[in-house]
Amino acid sequence: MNNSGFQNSESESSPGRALWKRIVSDRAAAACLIFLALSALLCFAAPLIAPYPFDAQDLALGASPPSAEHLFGTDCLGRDLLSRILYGGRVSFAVGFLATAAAVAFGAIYGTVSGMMGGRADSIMMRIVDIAYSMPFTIFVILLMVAFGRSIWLIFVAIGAVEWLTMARIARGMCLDIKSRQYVEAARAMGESTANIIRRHILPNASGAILACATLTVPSVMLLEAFLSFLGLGVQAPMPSWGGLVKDGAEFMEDAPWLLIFPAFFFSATLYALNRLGEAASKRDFF
Amino acid sequence: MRILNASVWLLSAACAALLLAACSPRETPAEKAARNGILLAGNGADPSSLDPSLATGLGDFKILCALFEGLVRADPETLEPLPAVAKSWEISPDKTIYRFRIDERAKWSDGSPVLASDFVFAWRRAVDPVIGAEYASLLFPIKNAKKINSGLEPDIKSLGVRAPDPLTLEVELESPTPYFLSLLYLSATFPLPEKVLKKFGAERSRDAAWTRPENIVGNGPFALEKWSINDRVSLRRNPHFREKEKILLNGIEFLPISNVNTEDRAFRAGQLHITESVAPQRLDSARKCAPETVSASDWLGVYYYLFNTTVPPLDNPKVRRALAMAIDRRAIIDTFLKGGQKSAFSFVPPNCGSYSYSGEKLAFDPAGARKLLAEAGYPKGKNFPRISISYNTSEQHKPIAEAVQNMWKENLGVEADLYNLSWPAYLAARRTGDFQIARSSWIADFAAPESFLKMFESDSGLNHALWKNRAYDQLMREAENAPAEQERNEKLSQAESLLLRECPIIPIYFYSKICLKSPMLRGWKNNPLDLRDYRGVELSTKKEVGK
Amino acid sequence: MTRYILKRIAESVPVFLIVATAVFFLVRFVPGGPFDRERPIPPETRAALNAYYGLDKPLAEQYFNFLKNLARGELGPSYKYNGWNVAEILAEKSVVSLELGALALAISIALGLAAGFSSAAFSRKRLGAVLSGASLAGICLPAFVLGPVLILLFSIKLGYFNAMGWSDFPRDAILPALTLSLFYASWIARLARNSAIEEKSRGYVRTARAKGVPETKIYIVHILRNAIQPVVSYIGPAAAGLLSGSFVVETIFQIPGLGRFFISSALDNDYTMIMGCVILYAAFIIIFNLLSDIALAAINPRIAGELKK
Repeated sequence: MNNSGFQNSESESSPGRALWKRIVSDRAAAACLIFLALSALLCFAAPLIAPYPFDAQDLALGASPPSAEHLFGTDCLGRDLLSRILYGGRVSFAVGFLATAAAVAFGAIYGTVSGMMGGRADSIMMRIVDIAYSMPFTIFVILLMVAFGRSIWLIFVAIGAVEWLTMARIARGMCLDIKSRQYVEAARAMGESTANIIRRHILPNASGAILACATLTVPSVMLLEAFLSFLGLGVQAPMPSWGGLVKDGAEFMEDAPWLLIFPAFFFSATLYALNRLGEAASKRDFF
Repeated sequence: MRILNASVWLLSAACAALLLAACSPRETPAEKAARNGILLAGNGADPSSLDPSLATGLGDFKILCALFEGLVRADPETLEPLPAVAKSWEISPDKTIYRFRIDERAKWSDGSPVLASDFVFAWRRAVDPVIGAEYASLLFPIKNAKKINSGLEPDIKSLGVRAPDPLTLEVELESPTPYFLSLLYLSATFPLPEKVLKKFGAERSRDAAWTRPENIVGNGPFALEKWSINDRVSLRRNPHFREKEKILLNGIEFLPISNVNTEDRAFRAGQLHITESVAPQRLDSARKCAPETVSASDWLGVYYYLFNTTVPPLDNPKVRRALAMAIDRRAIIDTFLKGGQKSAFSFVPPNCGSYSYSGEKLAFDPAGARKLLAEAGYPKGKNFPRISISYNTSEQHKPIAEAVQNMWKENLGVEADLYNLSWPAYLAARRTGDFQIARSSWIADFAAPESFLKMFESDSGLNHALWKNRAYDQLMREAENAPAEQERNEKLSQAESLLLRECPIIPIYFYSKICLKSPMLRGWKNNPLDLRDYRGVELSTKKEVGK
Repeated sequence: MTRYILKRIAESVPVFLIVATAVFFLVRFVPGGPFDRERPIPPETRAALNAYYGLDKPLAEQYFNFLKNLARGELGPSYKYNGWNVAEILAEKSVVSLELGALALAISIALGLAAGFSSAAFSRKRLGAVLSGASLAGICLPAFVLGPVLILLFSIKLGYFNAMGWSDFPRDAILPALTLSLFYASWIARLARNSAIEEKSRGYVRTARAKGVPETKIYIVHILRNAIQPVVSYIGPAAAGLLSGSFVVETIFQIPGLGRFFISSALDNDYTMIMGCVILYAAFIIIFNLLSDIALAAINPRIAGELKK
């Protein structure tokens, strides 16, 4: 959908470093990066640091407000919310990053190939992307989930299948742009193979824009996971995910507000940080 | 420039609209509707059909009870049969022939009289295999109904129902069926306006437009004014209704609000007089803030878990009993159902007709359960394979499944996985036996234990436990042919006892009908079948409530 | 121009067919048929129903019949709502979705452009940073949290609005439209800001500035005109998304729009309704992309030149 911000290619020799510089020079973005790294680390360390197992119940306790034993309170089955948020973050981060990785890998390859081949093949491949764009993807994802059971891997695949399209368009745009540069044409004239050209010139140059777009894809994947949870199509209970926790919390918002406030804080803060980071990564200072 | 201007303009227009809305204090929709005598009722789901023979959901029945009237109606409190379209009836000594006299005051909403032939037409259509009516099986006690419906008997006229004269209806049954009259409370046995259906080609069609507001003709207290899917079904008084003087409402709006939280907010914002249900987590605060609005009453339904008894190790009755005895029903009810449900240690809910179960019941007994599991060869759950619990997506089923999973783990050392399935996938899994343990529930169609116990006969299409027991079938057959009520109850009790010993199911709790009801609503009566009777129901305006 | 539009429409026919075909076969792989109900029906009844709706025929024949009906503009009867056919349900519900979607689209464009352009104008100042940070908020909060919060506040606590329903337009549309639009407003704000900042660095801006053209005039006449283009091309798919309704918002606010059919038909295996929704959505996408391309051409003569080719 949004690709205007990323069409600018980098002429620096190492786009990765330039990206890094852009982020650390923006204080807010750097703070976001630290927050993300920290919360991802905590979530992935959940089995080590969580005070309780994510499925340990205490029915007699029920939904209880934050206390010394349960810092974030407990849910209606008496499960510790802090532990569930940590474990849930693990799932949400995993879904976000893996689905994005799948989308990036497939989209970038598809787009690059399409751009490199050019001509008829290019127009056919892009036509396919157009067709896929006019599919109502929610229906598609739901049918996939319903048809093939509910495994977390399928969620990655289904979401990745939705998100690769934008990536393919960006990669192709980059590819066409770079292909026409003089040094690429020179390399080609010198008889370098297409694979080499892609590896040595195109991928390094396109990686900045692709990375920036990927950073923005992660939060939209996480929102999509939350939407699937709203439909009851999220990960299998009792495993939590942030989307699922926020959804459950929203139903208790008046009666046990802590069930909404804590997960929603982490969920929204993460989405915000990812978006902010993506913005910083895709922005060039023009003045 | 233009766009910037437009955006500023739109933004200020939106703000102005917000302010304008904010400044006007107003009468709530419920107050306004009460003034006009219009009941606003939450209906849970959209009706899938307003064709009485094709209707399937509980949401359909509530509306159909207002649009049509059957031969007899249930007393809204005791559920005893009262005269309705039939002003009287006689039963033959062998209890297989019923003769109804039709009330000559009974009129269709177009003014024409309701005739015995309208029932003959409706019942023949309901069992006609061509239209595939889902509830046709309710008519199976009638002679030849089952044969016609399954295609064994092509002559539809052989159905055991006749109209010897326009105001007499004669019904012949396959065998004496003590609960036959209570089947007549259900929409599948309502009359149909033959002329209208024929006009719209609905005689042998599911899709004809005869149920549209502009076409439909009914004989109930109300007539259909508007049907907008996902929005509302509006009913207005039927001036031709037989007992119109007993109807005090001018109309009903059924609102199909499927999300319980949305319904709850609608009630509190004054948009409903009565809700279909309440989210359990809302009950505590509703009882505290507005106790007069919370209504809970017994409901003939049971929530249970179903075993696939053909899959090891669930083919072993000891294993099944052990799993059944390891579930703490009280904790489930107290922690998150909260609506006055009762723990179920037997299968047929209490107050089901004259029946009451007297045999040995299941119990919550973790020690006993462990012992049974050890006897079955799995001491402390050792070597017990992982089992799975399938449930359909719902906020009610998920926490129960999670709690049960946890109880089995803690009490027995048995590990279970949860499978959350979409509604059709869940039903298909049950139908094809592609499950190990499935969440399940059953709401009675009629107030008799047969409504529950017939499900587990070997040849029953509802027996998804795939549990086959000759002794059980024998007891059910004996009950069917028992001449006296007491003997019948005794046989049924023995059958239930056998069911609980063999345990193809785990009863968990008996339902309670729980909803929010405005104090404006008067004369509303609860009954264990949740049948609606709108006679005597009225809405008072707010002032009178204060008195 | 007319030729261009006709060509685009002609091009979209195969897209249409491929999308419909893919979904047609996908739904047949989903377990459970459209006739599974709480009370299981006898196998004879199931067979009768399958025969009634032609689902007992070989898949190829079903597909052929579907295409034949589609060519005649028929989408078939609804399996879930007896006596209704899919086309008339969708037609009735699109009116609601169009009203709500148009209002939400107007709010998102207004909010998004206002936030995006003003944060670009002040991009060097603190205000710009605050505005651009705030405009991200809409992407961070799921509608199923925002919607209930708005209802609790404005209808239950303050009593300004109905908590649900669709009987009093536009009053009943305000809260849902607001819930719906924040996400899109955030996207629009981001696009508008990024492209406005980019335009600011262009040569023609510097030339104009050197010539002494007043800053506000440069901004309004030159920058916005160009910077609006990516927004316009985003509005195409966004409009298709908004006008085809939102399941979450329609469920929370009990609005009889299209969005609930998109999801519930897929969850309920309501075959004919799924196909209807898919076709409608594809049509929306094609139409709105076309509209946004035409709008782009109106803004940018260079693009118009390309279209005429």
